[in-house]
Amino acid sequence: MKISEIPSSLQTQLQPDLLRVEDGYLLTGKGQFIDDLPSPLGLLHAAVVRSPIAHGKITSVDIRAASVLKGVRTVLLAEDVLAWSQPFVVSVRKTLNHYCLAIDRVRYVGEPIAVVVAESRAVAEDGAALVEVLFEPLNAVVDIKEALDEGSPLLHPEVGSNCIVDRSYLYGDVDSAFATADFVLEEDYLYPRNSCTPIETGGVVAEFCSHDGSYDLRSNFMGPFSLHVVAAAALGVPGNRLRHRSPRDSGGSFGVKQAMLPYLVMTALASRKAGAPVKFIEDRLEHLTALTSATARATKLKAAVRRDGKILALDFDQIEDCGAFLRAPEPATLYRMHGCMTGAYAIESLRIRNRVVLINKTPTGLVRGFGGPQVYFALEGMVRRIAETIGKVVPEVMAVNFIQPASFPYRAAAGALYDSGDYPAALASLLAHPLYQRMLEKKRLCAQEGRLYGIGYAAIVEPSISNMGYITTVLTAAQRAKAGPKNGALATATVSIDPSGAVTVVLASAPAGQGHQTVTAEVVSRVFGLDPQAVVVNTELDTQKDAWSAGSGNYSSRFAGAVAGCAQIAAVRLKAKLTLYAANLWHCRPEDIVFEDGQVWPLKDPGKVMGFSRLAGTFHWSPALTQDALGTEQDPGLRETAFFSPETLSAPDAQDRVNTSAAYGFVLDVCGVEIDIDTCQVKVDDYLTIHDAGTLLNSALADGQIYGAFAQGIGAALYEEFLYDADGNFQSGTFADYRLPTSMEVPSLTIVHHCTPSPFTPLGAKGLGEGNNMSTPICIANAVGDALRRGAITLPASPPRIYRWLCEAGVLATIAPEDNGKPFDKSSPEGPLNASGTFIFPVSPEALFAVLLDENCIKRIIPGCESIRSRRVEGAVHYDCTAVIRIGLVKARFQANIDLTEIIRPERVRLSGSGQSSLGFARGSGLVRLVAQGTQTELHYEYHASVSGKLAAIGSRLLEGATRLVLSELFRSLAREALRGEGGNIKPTDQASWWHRFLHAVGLR
Amino acid sequence: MLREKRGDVRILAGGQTLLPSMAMRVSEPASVIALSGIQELALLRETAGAVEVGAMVRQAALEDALKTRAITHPVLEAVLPWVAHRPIRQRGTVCGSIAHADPSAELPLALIALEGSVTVASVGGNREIKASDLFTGPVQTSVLDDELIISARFPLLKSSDRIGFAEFSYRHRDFAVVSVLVIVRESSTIFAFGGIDDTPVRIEIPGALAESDLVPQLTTIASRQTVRTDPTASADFRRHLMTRLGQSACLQALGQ
Repeated sequence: MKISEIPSSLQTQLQPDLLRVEDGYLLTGKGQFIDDLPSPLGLLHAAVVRSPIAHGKITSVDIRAASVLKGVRTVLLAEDVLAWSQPFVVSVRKTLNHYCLAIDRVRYVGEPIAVVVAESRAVAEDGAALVEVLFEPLNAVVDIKEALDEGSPLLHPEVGSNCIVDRSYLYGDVDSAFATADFVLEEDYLYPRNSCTPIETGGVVAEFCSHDGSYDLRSNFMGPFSLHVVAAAALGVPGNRLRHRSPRDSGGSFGVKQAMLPYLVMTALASRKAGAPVKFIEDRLEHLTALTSATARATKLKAAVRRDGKILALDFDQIEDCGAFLRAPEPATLYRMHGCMTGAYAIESLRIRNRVVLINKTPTGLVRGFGGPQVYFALEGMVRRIAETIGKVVPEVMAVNFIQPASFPYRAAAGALYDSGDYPAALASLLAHPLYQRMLEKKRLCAQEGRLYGIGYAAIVEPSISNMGYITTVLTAAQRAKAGPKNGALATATVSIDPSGAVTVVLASAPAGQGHQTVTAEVVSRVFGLDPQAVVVNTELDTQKDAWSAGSGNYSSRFAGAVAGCAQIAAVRLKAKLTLYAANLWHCRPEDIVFEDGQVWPLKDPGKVMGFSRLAGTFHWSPALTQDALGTEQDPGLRETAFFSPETLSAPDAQDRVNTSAAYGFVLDVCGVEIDIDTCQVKVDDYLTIHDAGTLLNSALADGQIYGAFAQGIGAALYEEFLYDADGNFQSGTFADYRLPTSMEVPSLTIVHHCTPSPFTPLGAKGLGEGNNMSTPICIANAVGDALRRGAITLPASPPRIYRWLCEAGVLATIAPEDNGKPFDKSSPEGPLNASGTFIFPVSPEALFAVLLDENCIKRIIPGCESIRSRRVEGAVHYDCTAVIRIGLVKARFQANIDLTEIIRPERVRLSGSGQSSLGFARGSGLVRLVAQGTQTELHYEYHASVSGKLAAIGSRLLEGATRLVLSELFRSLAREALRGEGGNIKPTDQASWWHRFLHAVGLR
Repeated sequence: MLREKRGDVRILAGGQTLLPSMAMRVSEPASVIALSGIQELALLRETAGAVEVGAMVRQAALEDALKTRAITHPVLEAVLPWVAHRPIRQRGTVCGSIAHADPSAELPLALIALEGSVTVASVGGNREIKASDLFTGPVQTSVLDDELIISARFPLLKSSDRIGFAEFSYRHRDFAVVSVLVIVRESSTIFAFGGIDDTPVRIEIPGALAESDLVPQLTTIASRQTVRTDPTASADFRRHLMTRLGQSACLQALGQ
């Protein structure tokens, strides 16, 4: 259907807000989430064995102990996955060995290796802990730029490079613009990995139907349902044999539940292996470690600028970190913004180089706002830099560059067709707002008092209703021609009226708490003149029974612009049928039929009123009667399924121009922040956000969306970051370390709405749920930069970073530590698990050395050593041992190998080893040198240790202390053993005083 | 039972650390002994010279007793609101926090600052462990496998003592990055720092505290003390916080 079918009066009509119909059941604990669904008969539970290390070859997977555990039914292994599934399709025409389980090699911490299926989740977890996986660790690529280095370890040797995409784009005459510019500015930006974390983690219930080889899945997967096609292909079945049902409720999705694609396939195969239905519910550690992340992006941005601040051209060089695999729909994060890389500004010339690198981190995906913050961090950072360079304020630079209202619909350089907007009007309301005046006043005041106060701005265009074809911009025009065109974004909704005359709407929008039921009821009831409460909206989605398409699902802010409009279209069609019958009945023109307050009557004869339900019921009870009125062209059925794809969403053209989205909202933010030099915290003083999302369908829900996105934006700006150490070990696996802001951390927000309805969407509405995810981190970064008079800011702007910047700026001075002689007090710059030092032992080097080569002595030295075996080979000694390490509540049994190599007796030896337990993997290497000093020996050591897996993910704060504790005990035992050998030669009083000094030095008492 | 199962048994008091670590399977004791049924361990009283807190006294119960003045102890009153969040304090116990010995926890800090002690019981009888001997490393204490902390003693302040407390964490009531407790006495000042090293640290400096000496004195302490780096904060940043929070705590104390 065309938008012209919809009466224009409905396009901009604002109604009083309906209270959310969802709240009644959600707030009384009656939500229906995936884990609440009734269990199928014989349901089993899955637990996943995951990689504790970032990169390595799998040398063996031993499931013997797990298989015999009571209650364990089966273990899904790589060999099953190879037999029953295909690799996931990649959008860049390269084959990656990417299955739902790791095959031969692990490439990120948390990568699934095997799935233990058991009678309960607890037993499954017990079983998972018993699966013994041995690895040959490989060096990890952890840094985005290091991935491109010659000689960096390769994640996918068969691809030949860690750089899987390298494409350049040119729009307009960039070279001339740079040649004639008054200024050329250049800056590097790095946007970090973070996420938006739903309360409810991912969950799947899968059943393999052996009678026809089909799979029946239920999950809180959010779409896009184009991934259903990818999952079916991976399982080797046509789409109709992969039934997927979404429960009514999902506890937040924020883009990340798109990344459940591998879980769908994994659980389906686990069910096939078990011969029974299997449930898998992700836990929080798994969610944070291994589900997905926003991409990190390194951008070098160059701008050609005229003296008055006008931007003549931009040159983006972007390197995108997509993690260990390019997982569909990536590189969506990089390409979603492609058409609108020039943001809110009229910039004619644009050059883009896009590279995608694969590194040893969790595969990335769509995280609310995806692509936006990565681009605007650079673009709006550059706008601030331009203002500083030409001595103007940011709003002046914005005003010079904004797309003017008369230019809409506006075609941006890279192809986006901006539907509507009035950016100068939004800027005018910012400048006039009392809150902004207060910020300016406070800035003046703080400058006088020497306080660090800054004002930040961000003007962003918020795309919604993605064009599925945008991802194909990654291909060359020739590749696209070969693959066939992809474009559009088909939305669908079904409206039906039952024999009692009651209206039901079915959506394929897989909501996660946004209030789709409420808004749809409002929209549809308005069409029929009914009370919104009378309309029932069902948001469960069954791919075998409901209308859906590749574009279905809950993503890229498509509900208001596309889905709600679709429901409207379907309702309008049904109303046309009802109208035709009523006009026939009352012998009047169809346009004279009135639907209001649950009644229908002819305008000119209100006495002939009929209840809506009676009129609609006639279609069921007297189809012959209604058929007469409808004529032969239409049937009397009262069920309409509408599909809608915005007409403006065409495929990328031969010059790589693409209209990446159907609607483009506008957000203009300003905030004032003060930096507390005592705590180095950023305090957001005032925050004003001005939105233009076209027609607002429900202003309370709109504000709720904006608040939510703002809170997540605060998280990205100041608190949240996925942390990895230099070896790729993940270190933020709980909410203690992955710091979501709480209500105490989120400042108050002032929202102003403008409205320029979209001419391209049925209701004139645009998406607005992602704007502040895109603008807020950037606005705050700019304010912090302004306060510190500093260029690019690294996010999150956490107190340790602010402290460093204040030191660099000379505002604070570091306090140099005095050398207190304790070897363990010196942290190496490479990180806390690297250290070196010296101990003095009152024995000869030979005596110390003898201890290291004696199996019985070693057994006493290794803390918690239960058993040991030694093997001597040419010039080396090899020990295999089992040791139980206990630190506080944590107890882990390690299987360890210790190698003594580079042995030059009695001068030096290299001690290296690795240990594995169900809690993680530890490895280290240290060089020990012994120097005789009279009757004593100086022991010099340097070591590098690395701890991974669960221990690192949940205990990074205490890891260094724990490592030190183990090492101190080791040195103490070494000393004790050495003294035992030579103790007789030393006076007891000397021994005691030495012992005291020694214990003090290693920090033990 | 503690003696029989040495090391493979855990004591459950408030469970605010034990249960999450069991849920995450980093702690998998064969047996758990719940103390909640033992009435005697709920003892909370002010004795001559100290507040004595039994092993089953919840942090919130102590907090409420301080609020209603059933018990008076300015140090405990200052630190308790900083122990996690109220719902956690409703379950978490005072002795449990001490037994866990997190280097950034407030109650071990108070115990160290006040030179308090704990009483541990075992089949062989009771013994008292001084705070200075109790905390031996990160989440490590000198309590033996067959021993159970049955109470903690927080010595009372002298009437002339003045105190100050300051703490910094990234979010409201997170683990402290650094916390500082200051007790200003007539002839000395006690500084206790949490979050900087493997255990809370107590430093007593003789002489009266003068406001003008604060910055140099705290800077000297910060430069001499062992301060650790971990992924949450560098040693340098922690030293900075020691001086700034230290000043704030001292000014509170001097303002009294």
